[in-house]
Order: sequence, then structure tokens, then C-alpha cells
Amino acid sequence: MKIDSHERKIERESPPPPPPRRCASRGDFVSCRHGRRSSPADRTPEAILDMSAAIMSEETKMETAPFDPRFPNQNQTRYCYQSFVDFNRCQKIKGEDYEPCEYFKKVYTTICPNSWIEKWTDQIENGIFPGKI
Amino acid sequence: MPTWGHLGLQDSASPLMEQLIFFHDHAMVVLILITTLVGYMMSTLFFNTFTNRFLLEGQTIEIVWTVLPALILIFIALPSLRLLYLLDEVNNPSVTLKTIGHQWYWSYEYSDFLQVEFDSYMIPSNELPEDGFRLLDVDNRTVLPMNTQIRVLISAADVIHSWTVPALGVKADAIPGRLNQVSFLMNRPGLFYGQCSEICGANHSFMPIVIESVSVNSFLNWISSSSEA
Repeated sequence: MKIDSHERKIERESPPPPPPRRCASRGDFVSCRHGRRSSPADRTPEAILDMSAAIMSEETKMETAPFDPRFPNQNQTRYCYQSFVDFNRCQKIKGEDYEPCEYFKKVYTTICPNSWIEKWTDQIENGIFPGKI
Repeated sequence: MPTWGHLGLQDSASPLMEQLIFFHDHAMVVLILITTLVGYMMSTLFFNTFTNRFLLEGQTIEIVWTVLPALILIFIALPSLRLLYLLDEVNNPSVTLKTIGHQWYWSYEYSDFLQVEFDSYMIPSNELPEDGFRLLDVDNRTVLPMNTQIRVLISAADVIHSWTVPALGVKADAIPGRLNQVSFLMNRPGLFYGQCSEICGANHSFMPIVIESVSVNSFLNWISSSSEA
């Protein structure tokens, strides 16, 4: 199941497309090669590395729940629980369609073990969740 | 790579583990020097036939053999503290992996963008191929991208286990109801092995961990094909 997130930059179900022929707009890795056909210079090891770096910088921005200074130590249990509770509280106060609440959902989906999420979701549906929402 | 008769630490696959190995080697040199010096002094004293009936105070030597050890300890403490704080640095991970210990296997969850979940059981010795590693190989390896900061959240479903990969210098207990975080970066591709490190029942020795370090693109291909499967 895919999780939709406005922060996610990867949308892939198939291998990456072949490298673009024009220069990538993300600066650092690739020098511009507008208007040139493929020449022996493009097939040097450096050029190939540049191209693959361009593919990587264009498509691979992997993002995960960020470091939260409220929970700086090894024990992240509270980060998981707090994000879950904050999401439910946010939904309750702001309504189901309020998009910024999705940040909490993204965090707890990433951090919390799936079994915990299922258990708590069932508890909320049955009205027996021990936390205050 | 763990091999038979391996005496020292495994080759590192992570910059932090590299630093731990350097510190270990440094402390080991100091220890060997001290042991050699003391051993030499003891052996010369043992075979010495001179006698001094009036050996009493020796203020200078007392000062020397108090200050010198203090200096040696400072030489050990400074790199140790540097490394201690280095290990606790805040870093921003790009990938999060959740691992849950069960009796007697690990389950892994990748929930960052696509939901991927699988169990990782040890391959029994009687089903092992000729070139397999006994008690170390698993059916589903944990694939992770190299040169990426990775956060691993460790927990357990039943009893206490412990998740470790020595080549990466990480170990943390897997405790039911608690989520322990470790962080690492792999700087080379390859397979890195670990074993459960907290007694958890009959098959405690038979629930290993295998991390497969691959390029970022291979990881993304693997994760998208795993989520479809």
C-alpha cells in the first residue's frame, strides 16, 4: 500500500527511466550539455558518472521522519506514541480533510511498528484507547 | 566478514566502527606497552641477586610512578571521550527501518513511502547450499542503501532480544513495548552479519541478522518490487 505524502518525492513502481539527453537542472552534479549530440567525450567514465549522479539527484530524495529534538535519546517510544496521539487529536480538532495533520501520520507510520498502529487503531474504533484524544 | 577462528574485530563497514577499531588498537598498544614494561621489571627483579637491607623511602620514584600512569590514562581517556561523544552525534537519517524480534526470527518493516514487511528466518543447516554460511544465512535479507544515513528502530514482540551487526558497530536490546534507536551509515556494499545477542529461549542462537548493502538505485528497485509482491 502506498502512502501519499506531499513531501514524498519518489513515485515509482518501475525502474528509473533512461537518462535525459538535456542537462539536469539540479546544478552540482552535471555540466550542461545542451545542443550536443552524444560524442566520444560523453562516453568517458567521468561523463557516465556525471550522468548517473544526475539520475540519482533527480529522483532519489529519500525522506523519513526527521530528528525531533523533543526525543533526542535512544528511546523513541514516546516519539511514536506522541505522533500517533497528535495525529488523532489534530484530526478531531481540525477535521478529517485537514492536510497538515498528515505530517503526524507520516511520522507515526514511519516510526511506530505496524502491530502497535493496528492495535491502537482498533482500540480507537472500539473507544477503548487509553490515551486522551 | 566473520570467519572461523576470527580473533579480532570484524572489518568495519561504517565510519563509526572504523573509529571504534582505531580506538581499540590505540588502547591495545598502550596496554601491551604497560604489560611489557611491568613484565620486564618483574623478571629482572626475580633473577636479581643483589640485596639492599636499607631500602626505605624513595620520594622521587614514588612521584614518577604516580604521575606517569596518570599521563597514560589521560592518553587513553581523551580519544575515548571524543569517540563517546561522536557516537552520540545527531544525524538526519534518510531511511528508517523497523525491526521486531520474535521467538525465533526477526521481522522487518520499511514504512517510509512504500509499505514493505517481511520475516527473516535462519536457513536450517540441512537446507543450506554448499557455499552457505551455517547459522548465519537467512531466507530474506535486509536490503539497505549504502552511503545513506539509516535509522533502525528496534523492538520485540514477546521476550527481550538484541539486534546487532558487529561490522557496523551497532547493538541495541529489543524490548517489548520499547523502541530503541540506532543509527549508522554503510560506506561499502556487501553482506554484513549479526546474531541475536540476548538470551531468548531455545533458538536464541538461531535467529541471525543479514544486512545487504546495495546502491541507492538497487535499493529503490528492490523496495518497489517488494511492495508489489
